[in-house]
Amino acid sequence: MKKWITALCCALAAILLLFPLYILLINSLDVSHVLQMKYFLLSPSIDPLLSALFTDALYSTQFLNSFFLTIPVVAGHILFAVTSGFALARRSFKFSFVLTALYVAVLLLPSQVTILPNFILCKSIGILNTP
Amino acid sequence: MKSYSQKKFNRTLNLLFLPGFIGFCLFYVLPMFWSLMESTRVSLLDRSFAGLAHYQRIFQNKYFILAVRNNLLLLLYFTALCMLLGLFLAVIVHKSIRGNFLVLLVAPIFLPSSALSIVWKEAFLSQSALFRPYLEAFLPTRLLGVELSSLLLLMLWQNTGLITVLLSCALNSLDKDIIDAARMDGASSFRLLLSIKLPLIRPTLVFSSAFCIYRAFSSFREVYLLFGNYPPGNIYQVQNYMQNHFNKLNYAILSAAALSMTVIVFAVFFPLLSIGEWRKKR
Repeated sequence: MKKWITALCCALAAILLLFPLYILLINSLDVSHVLQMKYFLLSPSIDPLLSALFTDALYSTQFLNSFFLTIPVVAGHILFAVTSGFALARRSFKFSFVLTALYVAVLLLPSQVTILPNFILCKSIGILNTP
Repeated sequence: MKSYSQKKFNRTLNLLFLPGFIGFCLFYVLPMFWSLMESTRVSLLDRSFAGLAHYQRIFQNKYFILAVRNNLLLLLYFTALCMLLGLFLAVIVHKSIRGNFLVLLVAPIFLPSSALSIVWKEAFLSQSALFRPYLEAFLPTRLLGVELSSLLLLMLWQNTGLITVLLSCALNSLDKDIIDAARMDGASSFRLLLSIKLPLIRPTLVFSSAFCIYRAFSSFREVYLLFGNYPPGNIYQVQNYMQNHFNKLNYAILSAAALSMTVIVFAVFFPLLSIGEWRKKR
């Protein structure tokens, strides 16, 4: 009995989880060029996917840009987060709780707050437009 | 560690801590200071000292007040719903969870919001949407309004999976002996959950709610994608207010709003983190 309830809950959660993905998939296979969301397709075609992947030059450029931007971002995150995380965990500084809380709290700041000062900062130390 | 004296080890730790701290000061503390200076100027052209005039102005502005109220309400609804739903799912599935299902649960966070917002617009928000009548008929979503409830649904859909995974991992890693002992003493499974398991996973609970708060404050991207620059009244957020002033180059007002927002964020966040006792007892 309990197993059935678990299975039912899992199935319900899976359906809810997958439904938006299903809609995205269906509409990516649509070639009818009607501006309306569809919930099922009579004649799916794989052409839109193929053209986005192989013939659309802009898409591949954008994808590669995102891809290559991710690598230094992740590397930098790991470098700085691992070192300071290890230090914070192993050594109790005077204000280590306050520092930890501050580190987490500044994540919540909206990007408009820091984007302009950071731009000015990068300009003044001369790392702007240098890949 | 024996050949390594404690003092030397501590010095190494200080050195390790330094790069992160310098980055933090450079990219967060310095901009804050810049904002503070900017918020006391009259404008970008008139550099004379304005004192607290901008703060007075934004706190008399009814749209800013509305935005702060909306932000805190969204935070409350989202964190409560996400934690309850995640905990419910975690309690049900944590014994039978498998690797593949786990990946499925975390997947929504990696999907781009721009694609999802199109689905949400067509499925919930447009006048001819398939699910809009249900949102209008169901009492809680009718009270919240179709726009706010569909935004909440989008955020819940994205984040509940991760919360479920976090909590079920914490539940799985509990010591079996304690649970067996409680069961021997005749605790029912509800009682077991309430007085043994939940107190034991409290650090994870605090971390998950901190994550929920983070997502609630950074929901501006979804709001912008779904509703544009001027969303309906019950969704209008502080970030919309700031974005509109950013576009108009009102940096003084933007800075004043940002600093007020920072104070609010810290006021919400610090009490929560102190509950968690992140600092380990030695």
